[in-house]
Amino acid sequence: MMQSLPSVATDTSWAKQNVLQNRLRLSRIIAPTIAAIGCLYFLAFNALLLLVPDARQATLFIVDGMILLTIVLLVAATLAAQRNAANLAAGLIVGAVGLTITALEISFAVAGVLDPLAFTGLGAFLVVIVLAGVLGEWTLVIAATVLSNLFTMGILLLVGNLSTEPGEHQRIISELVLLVPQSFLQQWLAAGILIAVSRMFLSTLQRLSDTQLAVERARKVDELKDQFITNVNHELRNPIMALIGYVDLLKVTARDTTVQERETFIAKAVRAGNSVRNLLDSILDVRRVDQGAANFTPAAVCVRAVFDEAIQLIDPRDGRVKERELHIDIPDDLAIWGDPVRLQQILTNLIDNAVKYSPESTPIEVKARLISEDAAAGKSRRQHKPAFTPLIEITVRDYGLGIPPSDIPLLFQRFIRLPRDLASKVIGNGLGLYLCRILTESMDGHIWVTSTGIGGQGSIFTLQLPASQQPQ
Amino acid sequence: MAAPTPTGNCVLLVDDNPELITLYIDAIPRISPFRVITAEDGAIGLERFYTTDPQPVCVVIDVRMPEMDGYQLVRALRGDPSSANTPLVILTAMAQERERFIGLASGADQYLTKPVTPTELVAAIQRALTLSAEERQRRLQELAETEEDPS
Repeated sequence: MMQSLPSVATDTSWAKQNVLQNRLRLSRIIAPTIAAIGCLYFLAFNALLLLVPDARQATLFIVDGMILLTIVLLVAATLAAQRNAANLAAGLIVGAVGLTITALEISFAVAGVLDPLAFTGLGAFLVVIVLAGVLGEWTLVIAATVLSNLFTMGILLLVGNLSTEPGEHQRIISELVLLVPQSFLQQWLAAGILIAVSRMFLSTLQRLSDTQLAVERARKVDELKDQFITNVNHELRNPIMALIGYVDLLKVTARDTTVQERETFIAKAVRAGNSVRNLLDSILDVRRVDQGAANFTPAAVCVRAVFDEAIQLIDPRDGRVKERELHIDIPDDLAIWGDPVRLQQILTNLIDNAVKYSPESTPIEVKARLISEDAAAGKSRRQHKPAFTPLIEITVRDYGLGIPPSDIPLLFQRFIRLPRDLASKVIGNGLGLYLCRILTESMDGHIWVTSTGIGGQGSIFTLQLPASQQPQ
Repeated sequence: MAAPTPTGNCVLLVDDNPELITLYIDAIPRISPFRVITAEDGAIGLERFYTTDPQPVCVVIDVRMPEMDGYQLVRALRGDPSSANTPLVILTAMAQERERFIGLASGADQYLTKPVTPTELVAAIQRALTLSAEERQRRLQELAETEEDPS
């Protein structure tokens, strides 16, 4: 089964998705781990408190409360990570760890440990910032850094006010003047480095993704080329054999045939020759489209106008389309977002098929309509678009023999003609519907057929293309 | 031009392309003593082979067909004692050497690449007919041996 080439446009978010997945994975590990540690600390802390009664129980309860809150936040973070809310989980974890560190600092201060060693605990805020960088986006890093700044300030001021001796108080204030800027600098430096590194990482991933895509595309093109050469070689040999066969027959039996017989043979040779020409034309079309499938500038294209043109271009040898009963229901204001030439080729092919493969007495119906957002979601099982893109749906219905449902998957492949049609008088090269499919998909659309295979009920070819979002 | 034919002079041509079927019907009886019956796929070909009386003296088979393809038809015919000795000509659109090997190794007697003129086709049928039964058996024996020992 032919596959269309991967297009570059669809995969730009691969890099971001990848990074998000990594973050989620980390969150899922970190949150419960720290929560568990927090619980243990909580139990140990309170056990120690019971053993060492202290006058400042009130402050200790605050610390207790903060640790409990931390644990709750981490549980919430675990749940958020389970539900793939990466940013929420990251924010909760960072907030929880920040709270823990603040609680720890306060407990140090409350325990009366006021020497400079305690202030090294402020370095723990760097952990918060690093966590923010690893788990979340740059916004979280900035938020974490700002909050760390605030908490640092808060803790230092609190500690400053807790000291009872006036001399001590002075000393601490003078230390604060040094400590505050130093802490701020450390914290912002860490934030800066984290953001820069994460950006580099993202852009490298993006380039990796682009390269992978290019390699995949090149491989597919190679495959298509091979298949193309094989198919062309194979498909041409039959009509050419018919052509030279009849010429050879004419040569060898020159004296033994009647004029009428010779004329029949010549007619058959000519017919074979035309098959070859037809095939060559279509093959070049296919090749051109395969190579340049993505190369066009999309624009708003009026469906009705293109349809009127398409009708003009139906090959009269295939049937007089003007003499057929055509029921047309195409509002004038419908427009697709694509290429007019391609749409015209698709419509010409579809209507041409309808004319060729249905009796002259039966009507052909062509309808077009806009499918709005809600209807699009449930419409077709082939729909891979997110539900909010409005589409134009065009249907071409004939009342011919229909298509056996078992043959439907084959229909849009190259060179496929149904066995029934090969045996009939209808001329075709099996490329029309393949072309329709390639052209449709190049405009981000879908094409399919529904048919019961019961004679007289015919087939409905449905074509869906993105609607133009520009006002007409 | 007449090669020794056992009974009858009917040739069965199996090909899914209707233009070529018409060509066979128009050309072969005019340039050879053979009559022609045709089939559009392997399964129908098999049926026509067994239901035609007298049995066709040669079968020309196109490799690529829907339902039962050419190689399968060859094996089916070779597998049945009543047709194990029937001269078979394979027609294919693929011109690679590997295909040639497979074509011959499957039990066919002649291998042709399309396009061939009716004249060339008739010549190939003649060549297939002149291959004696003994030689065909020998070839098939060799083929079975190579299959058992793929070295």
